[in-house]
Amino acid sequence: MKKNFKETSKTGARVWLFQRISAIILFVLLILHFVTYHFINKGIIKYTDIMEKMKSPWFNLIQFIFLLTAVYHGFNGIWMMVEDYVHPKLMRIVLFGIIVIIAFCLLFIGMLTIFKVSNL
Amino acid sequence: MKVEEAKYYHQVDTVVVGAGLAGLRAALELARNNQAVGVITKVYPTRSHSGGAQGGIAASLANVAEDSPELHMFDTVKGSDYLGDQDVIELFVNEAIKTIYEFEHMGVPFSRTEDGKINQRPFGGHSSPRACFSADITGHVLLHTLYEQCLKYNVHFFNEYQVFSLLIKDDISRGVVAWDIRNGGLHIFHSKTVLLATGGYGRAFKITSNSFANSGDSLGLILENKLPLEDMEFVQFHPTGLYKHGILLSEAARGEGAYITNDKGERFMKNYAPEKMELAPRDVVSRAEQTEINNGRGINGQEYVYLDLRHLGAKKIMERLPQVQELALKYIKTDCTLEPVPIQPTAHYSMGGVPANIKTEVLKNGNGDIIKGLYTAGEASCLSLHGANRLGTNSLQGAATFGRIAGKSMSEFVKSNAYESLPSNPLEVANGKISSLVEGSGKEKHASLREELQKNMTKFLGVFRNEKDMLTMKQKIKELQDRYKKVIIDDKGKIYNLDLIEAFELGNLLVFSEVLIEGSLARKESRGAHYRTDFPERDDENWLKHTMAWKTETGVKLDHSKKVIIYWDRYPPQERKY
Amino acid sequence: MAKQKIKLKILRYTPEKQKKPYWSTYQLEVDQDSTVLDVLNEIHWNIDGSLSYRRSCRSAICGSCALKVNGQNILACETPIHKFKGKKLKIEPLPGFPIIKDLVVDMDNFFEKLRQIKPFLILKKPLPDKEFTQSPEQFSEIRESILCILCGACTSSCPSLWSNKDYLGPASLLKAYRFIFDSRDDGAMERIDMINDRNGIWRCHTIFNCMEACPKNINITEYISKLKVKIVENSI
Repeated sequence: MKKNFKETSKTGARVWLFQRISAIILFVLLILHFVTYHFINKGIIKYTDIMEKMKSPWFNLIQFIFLLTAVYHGFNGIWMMVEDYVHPKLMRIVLFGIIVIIAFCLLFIGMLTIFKVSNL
Repeated sequence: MKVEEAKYYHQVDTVVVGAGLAGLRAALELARNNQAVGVITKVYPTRSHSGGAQGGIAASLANVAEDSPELHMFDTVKGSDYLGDQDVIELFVNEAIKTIYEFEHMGVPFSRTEDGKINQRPFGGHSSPRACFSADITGHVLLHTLYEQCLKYNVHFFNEYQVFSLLIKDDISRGVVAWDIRNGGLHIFHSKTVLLATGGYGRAFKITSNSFANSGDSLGLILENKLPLEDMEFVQFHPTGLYKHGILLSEAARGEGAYITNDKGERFMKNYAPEKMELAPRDVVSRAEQTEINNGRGINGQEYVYLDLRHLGAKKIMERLPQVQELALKYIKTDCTLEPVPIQPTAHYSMGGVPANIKTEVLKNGNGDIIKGLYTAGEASCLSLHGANRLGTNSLQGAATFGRIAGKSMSEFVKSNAYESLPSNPLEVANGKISSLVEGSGKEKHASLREELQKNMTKFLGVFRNEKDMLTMKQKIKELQDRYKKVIIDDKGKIYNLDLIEAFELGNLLVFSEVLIEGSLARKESRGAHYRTDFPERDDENWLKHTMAWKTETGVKLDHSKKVIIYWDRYPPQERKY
Repeated sequence: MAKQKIKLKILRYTPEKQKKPYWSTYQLEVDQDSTVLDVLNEIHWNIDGSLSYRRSCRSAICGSCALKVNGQNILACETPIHKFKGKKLKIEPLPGFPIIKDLVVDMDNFFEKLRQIKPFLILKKPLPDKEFTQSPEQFSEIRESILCILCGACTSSCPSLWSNKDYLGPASLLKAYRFIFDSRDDGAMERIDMINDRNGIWRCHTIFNCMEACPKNINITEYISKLKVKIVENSI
């Protein structure tokens, strides 16, 4: 009758903590994003303004952190949902692979945009 | 569903029947000593009614005021109206302190004093604040802690099994037969020792604080085995039952200072117990309440009086009495911080039960002969620790302390005795009961019989009793017993058949109720919780003795030769005034 | 007492007879201030004796009668029917647990999970002659958590449990809190090791269903969050 419910992976605490930290970073950066893009100049954004901003390496660094945390936070969340609902081991491995591939693709496209534009 | 062979046969040194405070404490004692023990319980252990106890558990720790075991003993003896056996009480008050510290070391979360000790509050009939408590959920935390300790020591539980018969032959207990409620089927438990810890018999009454499970099952089984019950006439009525529901509002409310008032708004206890007022023992307060109600001074002439907590203030109520507040609010939509709560006496505790000696061995007669291997503790037992009336908070203590003692006694017995052979047809009795309920040709419903029994017991054998009423009830119980033979149940299935369990329980209620009635009729005096309007005085000359009662073919056989054990030099009977 | 006619639906299931649970409709007359348990008793005693359910104390302390009524997990004994005013009652067993019969569910796993978090004081210090000292402030840390009656309403309401039967569930985690935050206990690390698991505390996504379901109004989610912080402090 005795049953062991343990799954024995001890990474939960770290994942939980990183998810909270990334949430806070996202929150701050999101506010920053709204302020710079939508409130300065009464919210009128011109293509050239953005291009001007993107010449600064600091601005791009922040953009990069934003991208990284957003992708991590989003896909970590999706992974938790998979853990909630998908129980067969093989299925989990396959889904994990797909999630990682999509995440890296998005990261790559995002980085491409940031660095290509700044090199123009 | 057909009569069948036993589905399983279990051999285990000790079987504990009932998983309340007494049963679990005994099981824990055995498990700690590496003894094999199986606990059979008809509800999950944490559902046991010990959890319903609210106010506290008595021990003379003297944490908040001066106190001593001697004083505790005096209060208990006086509370019992001198019917308690004083050797038992002496052992009890001395062991009580150890029991509490043990509980604390197990992790029971007690409420604390400012300097970090176990806090204690006043309680009815106790002359010093002696009730160790955890808010007003003391029984609940004790029960849960004991269950958790049993998990720690890997006690094996048979959850949701109903014992249907005891296997006793030649005055030796050989085990029990139990019905697996969840899956159906009878199981034989072959054991060296059996502990009966099935709780009280308050379910014989309509207005009761007892849970559905308190149907006095082992009492019915004892009578069926031609063994006696002791002092069954003593049923405690708790003064603060929630009006109509009967569920308990803790005595802790009065311990913390609540008033009881009548229609005129006066604290009528001043006319009955001028010194202790609301903190007089339960039998005294219940009689006072009933007298007020009978004389038309119930609120608006109705069958209730008020429990008034308002002057305690919302803060104290929420901190010390959260459950009282919650129950009144949820069940009768009364916020006790703003309004008084309607209350009435409710059948609460059974002083009588399965007779046992100080080692918790079950007695065969009034001479002290025992049934080998059979033990009892807790409310099911009559040791007699509580005599004619129990003091509040002595019940949890009694169950725990004598549960532990029972564990110890059984542990010794198991070591020096071998298994006795089972009777030749161990399932016969249990199968007979099941088949008569499932395949009978009658048309009676157990529900209507139970309703009639409970209504009449509350009416005729309540707080005040007299011969005429009791004779009426005697007739009634005969009629109900006859009708019980024709009871048939709707549910013929095996899996979780609640119908079968309820019908079986009713059988027990009807058998021991007859003994209760006969015992009350015979006792021509008023003592403790047993009050007769036709014999309103206590009669020490003729009645300072216990009642032993057997059920025979022709009716109930009574024997009053068992004397009360009294230390005449130290605690001689006195007038009982509060 | 004024009587009232009510109509209700109960999810019935007898494994010996049916493959799947089915809804059964009942019509009866009850007192206006009846509780859900009174209604079930009335049906069981006077209409259909084969209806099975659990109940014991009637005063909301034993935890036997947790059920789902109109989508909410409640204790049948303390919930008056007028709480669901104007609506037809729909009574079903606690979700998330296997049904044994009618409204009775199998709670063995629930209690087994409780066993796993080591629900007893773990002491590494010698026992004192009398009691351990514990200040009222230290006691108040666990005061609310000891109210838990193990009725299962919280664990049954948790979506994380619905999708993952191995999740420890809020009741066990609350019990872990009760011991880890007991000033007398020395076993926090052992228990943390148990609950710091993918199927342990980290399946809690702070959904708050448990708090809403708790008949004792315990702030379960808050205590689980305190545990999470404690684990992070200990393991990083």
